[in-house]
Amino acid sequence: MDDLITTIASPLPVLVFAVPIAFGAIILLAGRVCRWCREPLAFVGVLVTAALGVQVAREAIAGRVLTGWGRLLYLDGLSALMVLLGCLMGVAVILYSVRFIPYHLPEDQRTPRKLNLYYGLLLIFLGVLSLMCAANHIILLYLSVEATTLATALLIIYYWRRETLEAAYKYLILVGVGITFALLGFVLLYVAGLQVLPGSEALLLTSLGQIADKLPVNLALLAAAFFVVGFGTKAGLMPFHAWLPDAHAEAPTPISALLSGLVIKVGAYALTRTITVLAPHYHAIVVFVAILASAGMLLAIFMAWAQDDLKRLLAYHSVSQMGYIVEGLGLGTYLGIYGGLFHLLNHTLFKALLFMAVGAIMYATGGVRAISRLGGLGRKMPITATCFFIGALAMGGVPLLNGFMSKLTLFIAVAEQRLLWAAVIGIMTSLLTLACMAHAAYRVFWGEAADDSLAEVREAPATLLIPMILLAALCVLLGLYPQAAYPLLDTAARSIVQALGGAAH
Amino acid sequence: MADLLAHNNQLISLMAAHLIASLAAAEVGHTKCAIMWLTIQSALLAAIFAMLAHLTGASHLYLWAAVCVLTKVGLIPLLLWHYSNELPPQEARSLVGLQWSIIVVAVALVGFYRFLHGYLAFVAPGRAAVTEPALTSWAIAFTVIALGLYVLAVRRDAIKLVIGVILMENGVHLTLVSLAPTVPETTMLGVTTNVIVLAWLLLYLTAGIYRLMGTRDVTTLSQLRR
Repeated sequence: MDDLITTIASPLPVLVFAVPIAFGAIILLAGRVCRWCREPLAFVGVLVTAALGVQVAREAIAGRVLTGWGRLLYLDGLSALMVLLGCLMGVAVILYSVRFIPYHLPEDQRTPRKLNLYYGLLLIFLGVLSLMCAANHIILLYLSVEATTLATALLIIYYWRRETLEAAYKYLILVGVGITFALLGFVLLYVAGLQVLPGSEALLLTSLGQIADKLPVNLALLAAAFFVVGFGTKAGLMPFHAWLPDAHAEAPTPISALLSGLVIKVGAYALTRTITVLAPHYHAIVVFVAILASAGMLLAIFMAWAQDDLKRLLAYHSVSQMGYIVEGLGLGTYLGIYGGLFHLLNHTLFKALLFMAVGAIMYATGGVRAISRLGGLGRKMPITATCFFIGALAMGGVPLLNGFMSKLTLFIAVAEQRLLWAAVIGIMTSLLTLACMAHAAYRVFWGEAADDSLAEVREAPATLLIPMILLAALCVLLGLYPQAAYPLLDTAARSIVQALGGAAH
Repeated sequence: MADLLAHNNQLISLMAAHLIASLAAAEVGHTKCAIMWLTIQSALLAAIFAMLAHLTGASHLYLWAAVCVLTKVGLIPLLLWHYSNELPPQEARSLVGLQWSIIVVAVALVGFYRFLHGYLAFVAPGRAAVTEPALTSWAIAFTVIALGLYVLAVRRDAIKLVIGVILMENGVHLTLVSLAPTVPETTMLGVTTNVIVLAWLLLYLTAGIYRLMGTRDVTTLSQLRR
């Protein structure tokens, strides 16, 4: 691979985060005077950001990397992938929330201020996510990852119930402490980089990537361990996942979709930017990450089997699926990184779809999400059932759906590195995932209803179904035509490989 | 450098006082007293920054010290004080007693000190890190981080957990200034702002939990255990 990359200064790295943050601030302020403005403003904000993201993607595919603020900001293919994913999720979640959030808010909380807060925080979250994608400065990366934690914590406690406060408290403590470990890793990396680079250069990820092989070996391994603990906590990797099931279960369901579809990918993205700097030079990191990921993906499936709560079941599946993503990214090879990013994209799609389907069930049944209380919903909610099945089969890795293609890529990448045991565990986990989801889907959508109150259940409204159908369609499209994502994924994978100075193969 | 070595004992004394204040903040049961000790601990951290600035001639460390005074000595204790007004004064009882805390801190300090003096080449980032006072400073910084983690593991009080998080962050700052005093002050500003927002949010949640559940004991947060 000998691609020519051109670096050009551009206002896009600043606009891509400033625009959604500005829209978020406008919603928080203007929403007080114009009650009907918040949802349209939120849509416009996300669509404008998406347009900027598309432009960044086009530049990246054309071989151009955009910098801003004197290389403090850096937008490459990987950044473009994450920004576009964020915007896609933003559109889906906002559309879904229009009907869902007011319906589930208690009467005394259904105020304009409360709704402004929701959409304002969503846009601000999208803005700090974009800032994270653009960060080339290690401290800016740390701060933006932490900022996503703070923004989502406020969204988790949105319903202001005991359970939401407990979930958010655990989330903040565990992820906050975890990211402090990542900060320690950055301190060590910076100090190590100072031995080779001038002061300001040693703070830039791009510069550190070029000299990764010159760092003291043990220091690099120690920093890598801190990154895995820190960003692994954010990503929900086992054994640092304790916050994840509670937060996913108790947050408003559109936010659960966001948490699983995007927030935990923040941890994966940050791990990508840090571990892949070091992994190709230190095989111990590759093996360590593979062991952690494989153990996590398998154990999480067994925990998922024990769940009666649909949202907690999906949360444990997220822990399991993150194992695949981190395993691929941690390999440090082109194919591994490509497979990891492909699965990151696919997981965002099918997991958000699954959470939205569960949300539709909750909407239709008055908040029921216990599997033991559900049954026979397939006849009453055929579209929701179809979407759920597509998401479940995609996650299980069934051929012709997107999950199969990304998992196959990962298995091949892992096998190429002679980690056959990891490939076997991955395949086993995939089969167990399929079995678990098929079992849950059967109990929810087939058979007889366990509760008489479900007799009056009807299909969810259009504003809930449209984003689900869109995500389901994308799962099918990428399964039948995976090449559709190739230009962006290839650019994203190459951007990581090139940052390594060609050390990956 | 000669100045630094000549004033080694004074600097190490400051750091030792910083560690003792950290232990006091972690152990004192009365919330407002614990906040006072945390304030003293942060003030000693600012004094360490100022002393290093004076000894090394790195004048930007004076700005670090000023930011530390504004935020860690001023804002954070104010936030803690404000939210603790809404809560009972005595914290929820710890899972372990003072004697165990002293043992843990002593073992951590001796362990880090011996490791760093004996095996620093294992992880040495550079020449500056293998001399005093960086070595002792590094050992104390890691001990403070370990103390923060210990607080998170054994304390049951929600406010004390926030203090544990702040202790960890202060330990990381001390690590940063010990190993890399040349890092720009904007870095320090950004990290400190993050700590303030995190502390505020945790305190906001703590107050909310107390209003809804009537307790500040985190072990009773078990609604979600199924």
